[in-house]
Amino acid sequence: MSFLRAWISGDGEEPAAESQAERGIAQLIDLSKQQSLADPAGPAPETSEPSSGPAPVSAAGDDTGHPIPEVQPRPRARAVWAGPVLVAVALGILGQAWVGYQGRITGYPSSVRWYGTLCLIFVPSAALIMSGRISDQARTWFTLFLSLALLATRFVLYPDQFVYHDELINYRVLLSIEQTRHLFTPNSLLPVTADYPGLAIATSAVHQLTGLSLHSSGMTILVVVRLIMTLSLVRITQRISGSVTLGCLAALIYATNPQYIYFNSQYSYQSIALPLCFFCVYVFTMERKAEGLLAVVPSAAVVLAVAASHHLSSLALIVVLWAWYLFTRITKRPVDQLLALAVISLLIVAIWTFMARAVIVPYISEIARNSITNIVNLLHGRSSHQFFTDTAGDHNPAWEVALSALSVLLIISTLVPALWHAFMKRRLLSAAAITLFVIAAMYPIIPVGHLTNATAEVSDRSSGFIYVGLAYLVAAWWFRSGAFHRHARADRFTVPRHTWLLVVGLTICFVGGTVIGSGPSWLFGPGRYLVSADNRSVDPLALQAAHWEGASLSPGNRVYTDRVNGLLAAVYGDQHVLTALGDRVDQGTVSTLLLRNPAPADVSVACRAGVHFLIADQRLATSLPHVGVYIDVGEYLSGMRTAPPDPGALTKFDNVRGAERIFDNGAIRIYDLRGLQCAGRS
Amino acid sequence: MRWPELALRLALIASPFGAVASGLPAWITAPLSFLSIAVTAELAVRPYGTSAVDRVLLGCGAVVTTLILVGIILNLTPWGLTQVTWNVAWLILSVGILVWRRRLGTHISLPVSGLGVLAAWAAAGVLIIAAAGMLALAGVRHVARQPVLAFALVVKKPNSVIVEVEATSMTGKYHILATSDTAGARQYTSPVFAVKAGENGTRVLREVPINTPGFWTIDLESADSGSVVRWLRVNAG
Repeated sequence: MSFLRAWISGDGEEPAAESQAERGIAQLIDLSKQQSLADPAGPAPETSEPSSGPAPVSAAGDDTGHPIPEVQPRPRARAVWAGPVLVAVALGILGQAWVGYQGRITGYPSSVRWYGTLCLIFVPSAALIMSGRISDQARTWFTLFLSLALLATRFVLYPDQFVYHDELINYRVLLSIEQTRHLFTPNSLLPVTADYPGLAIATSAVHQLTGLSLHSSGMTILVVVRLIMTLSLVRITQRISGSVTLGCLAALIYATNPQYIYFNSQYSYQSIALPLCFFCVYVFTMERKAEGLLAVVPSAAVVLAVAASHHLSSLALIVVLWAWYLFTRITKRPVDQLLALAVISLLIVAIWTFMARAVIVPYISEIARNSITNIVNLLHGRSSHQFFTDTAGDHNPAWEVALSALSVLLIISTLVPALWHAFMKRRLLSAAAITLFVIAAMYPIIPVGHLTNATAEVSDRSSGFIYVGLAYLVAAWWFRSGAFHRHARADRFTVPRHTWLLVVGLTICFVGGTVIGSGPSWLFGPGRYLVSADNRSVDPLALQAAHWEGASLSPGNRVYTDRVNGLLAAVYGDQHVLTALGDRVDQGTVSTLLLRNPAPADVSVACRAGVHFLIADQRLATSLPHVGVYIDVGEYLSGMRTAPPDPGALTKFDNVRGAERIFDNGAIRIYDLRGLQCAGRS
Repeated sequence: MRWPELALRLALIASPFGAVASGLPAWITAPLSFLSIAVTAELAVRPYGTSAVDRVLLGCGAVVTTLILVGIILNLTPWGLTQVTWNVAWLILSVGILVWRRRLGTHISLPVSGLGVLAAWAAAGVLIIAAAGMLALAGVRHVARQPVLAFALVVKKPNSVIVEVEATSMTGKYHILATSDTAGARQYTSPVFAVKAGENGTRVLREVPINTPGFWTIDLESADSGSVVRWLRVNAG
């Protein structure tokens, strides 16, 4: 509650912090030294008083010869805007709920209202956080409040169930734990998820300890990990820079990353692993009381949790730790126990990956193969990828396209001078700061990756990591004091640092980044049914069929169907859905069961794949798929399709001898193929 | 730690265990459990957290990390991850932390002064967010009320099949017509029956007699329009 007190009184440590922030990049002192300064008994990190000890540069000047001006502390101001901002954020959440409600009623959610209400949450909060009118503590808490409010927008759009592709896949892992009481039950939807059950374990624990439903427990975990992510980011940045304000700005910049609103808010295993990566670094940079290897036990425990949660996140953590260690060697400023943690982490991740090798290798290979194929097609001019247009032809509105392009330009135009600024002052950078510098320099991967479909997904996923470096570097640049160029005058090539300018820039990057990460407009919320459109394909008809399967069919039958009905059949129907990754079926051949007109080979295809039940959604014949495929990558006519399949392709088993039609709800028909006269079957 | 605090902490640790075990509803067990977890986590990380922010961060991070690691350990036991094993594990952990931190006393003070204005704003915010939640659920209920009608096979018997009509938010009169190309098959037409499905849906079961083995087409026909609205094809007998 102390933050509330600080909020109201408006007192606290803001002037000192502001002064510290203004000293900017000159405060990039070594983490190990920063740790030694921390006073465990007092609120040292909150006060951000200028540290005495080893700060390398005084306020009087730096090694470039440019003076770093002393910033006069601002007069203390009461945080009169805190209350109204609090209500504005709540209204933003209400607006999001209204968008979802309208989407369900009218079938057409308004993207203008969606982004507008997101801005109602983001803009006032960002303005207040960067205004300097609240204490450091309040600033930190408000940054956390903003991040949780943005997460809440997902909950009010889909308050009662998981609907996105990755959410349903991970929900299947959770259901398996509840059913079998053990981990690592194979998940045919995406086999690799079964071997990284960290999210499902934590959710199951909350479910069992609190009595909440599985969905509510999942949302609880998402809230907790969002909290961990935000506060870790603020604290890590604060420890490197010595400024709470800079830490909060870094968290705001991080919130503009393309995956923040959409993917990293989903019930997906990366959503827990990424915050735990940040937490691992935070724990490691705490003042440690234990000596020797015991000192890294808490961090190693977090690494183990990361390793058990997500493959690429744990790999990224290892790379970061080793890069950090490498830079400590180069800068000759060692960090205690960093090598020990890097080695232990490498062992943990290597062992876990080795145990999961049967699923992780095919999975990564598949991603790599798709990405390479897409790049080769692009280089040969065969790419069918269209910017801001999904495969069914839905376009983002022009204003969304403009804002996303503007956001990329804005980020590049701040990142370049930020990188240059950091480069010019490289002798002052700690190893941790250099690591973030390198991570930030990888930003071009994100926009360039959008040249093809497969690489767009990979590059967007990487934004969760890249934006950590970018957020830190741009925040440090914003609070710079000297010119970013050694030979430039301090005020010539730099933009004035007005708070309103910062908030406008952040807002553009926030909206533009969300457009890039969320993709087409239909993806953000509920509305009328769309073909193969993940959340928009989960409708009462699809759910009715899936629940019927769960109630009427024995569990674990081999089922073949399209992408969304497959997810629902696995989750609510408890069926084993045939997939290329899970069952090594030839997708190009088996998908003809649903996507090709009747052919003599249909029976033999079904027999060879061992299909027990075929779920045919007639609506697939009404439109091209919105996510690029009806079933999965490599399906029949994948990448060459210009029209939806003929309706006859989906009803052909009505006339096949031995096939029974056992369910019909107007849209979805379920065929029992166990009676097919297969060659060699008695 | 003085004995009243110790007793209170023990009660907090034990209460969710008892509440969940006794099958109380989630609105009782969840707050109790979260309070218990928060209090235990705060005690565990208190010496490391130099401020409220750090304690919250450390507490949350420690809880998530611990849950994942405990889950991996529980998986190695024959019982696995069940309600009992989770609660016992957490009970042991909580008591262990209590023993570990037995020298730490707690002084609770609420910032009463100056909370008035912000508390009013916060209360307004909470009300608005609650309204958002209700609005979101209203939308969900609207979708759940959309009319759906499914016709499905339930079970096959030697001389009949049981079929079901599963409907939501719709009413109508139907009859079932069963035909087969098999030699000697007798067509069956059921009496007209009504389906009155409200928002919560309804399920109507009907037995369709089959006089000869083979493939049968079973139509669900609207008694009003005479059109086939759903149909099945079943290998019966």
